[in-house]
Amino acid sequence: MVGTTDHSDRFSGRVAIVTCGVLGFGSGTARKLASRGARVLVVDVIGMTKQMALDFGPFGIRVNCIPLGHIATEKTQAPTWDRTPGGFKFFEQQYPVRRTGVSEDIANAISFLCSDDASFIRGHPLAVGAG
Amino acid sequence: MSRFDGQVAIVTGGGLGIGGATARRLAAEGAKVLIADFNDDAAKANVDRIRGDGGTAISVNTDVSKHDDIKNAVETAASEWDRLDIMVQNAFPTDTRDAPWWGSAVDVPEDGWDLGMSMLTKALYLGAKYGVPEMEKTGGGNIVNLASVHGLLMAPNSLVYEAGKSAVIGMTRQMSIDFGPLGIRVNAICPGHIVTEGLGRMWDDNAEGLKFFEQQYPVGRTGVPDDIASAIAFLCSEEASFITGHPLVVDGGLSIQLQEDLGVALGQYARDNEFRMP
Repeated sequence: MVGTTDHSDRFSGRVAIVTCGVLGFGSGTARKLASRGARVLVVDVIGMTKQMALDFGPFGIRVNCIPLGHIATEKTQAPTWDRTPGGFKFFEQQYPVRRTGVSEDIANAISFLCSDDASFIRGHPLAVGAG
Repeated sequence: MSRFDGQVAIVTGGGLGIGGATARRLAAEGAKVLIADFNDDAAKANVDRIRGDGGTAISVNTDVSKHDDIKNAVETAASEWDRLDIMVQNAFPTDTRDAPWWGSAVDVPEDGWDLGMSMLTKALYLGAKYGVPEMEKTGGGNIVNLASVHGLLMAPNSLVYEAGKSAVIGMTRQMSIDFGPLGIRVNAICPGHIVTEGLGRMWDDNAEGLKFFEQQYPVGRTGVPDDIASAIAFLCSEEASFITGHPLVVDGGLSIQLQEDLGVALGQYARDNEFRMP
């Protein structure tokens, strides 16, 4: 006989802030927390970006954002992947470009968005690796 | 910047407008550019302009509704310069309000659908069909397809253009999966209203109408071809090497707005200002 554990009030009285909580992992996380009693605040970075772009555009301030793919940084690469290079190669197969990102990919995109070349780009989520 | 030294690019519709500016930008950054356009005069004028600025360019008469023309453009670039690195698939006639592809599903004749969609979507498939194998020979490349905000939000009485530009986004995303492992990135650009040589004519004697039109843009202006050329150049560069399958929206913030509030603001502007409706 298999018993069940009732977690329905596990987070009762707790408050959770879930960023990127509109879709994907964030959305699932937000729903799970709410189902277990938490009060959940969903913060959607993309929505905030678009709204701020409207408010601040007339002042000459551009607001954009960058949804990321997997970026191998000094902090994530060694502990996560150095022990399993074969697993990392499998992980990379998810990406049409057959590699994960590096910090410079994001830096380059940020540099572009901040340049005059991007002066007509407002409130845009420029996906770097999210494809 | 000379990010495209040694590279070869094809720009369809590269005589004027967005394509014209893109051809000039890529050439200015070192690319050899083939302008594929059915407007020979415009194409040759842009070739002369690029050469006058020290760049390298040729033109080939190309009607992107014709299979053989697209194949010929790719073959010409490859035979002239022994490689192909960039394809900017941009061609579509813009100053053609009496063309057979405008109207609703009830209005558009079947041949108008066929012609419009052949230029908006089939041309991109054929461009990739012939361009990708050439890019493979040198280990990779970039394709940028011109979509539009009309592929994100729908205008009335415009079935073919809205459907076609919507399809461009889907095609771009699908192609990026097929060709990413070959080292070929495929992205799209979604421009807002870009005042080109062709579209600009509607505003020539209606400056106040343009000012009203610009109220829709959080950035306070409509776009110019260089706005799009800059974004295309970024996507084709090494700086964007982790970006593929992405529809980059370059629209001054037009498409991020809630219509209700925008409609009220435009109504207030129309009430307070004199202008002729565009």
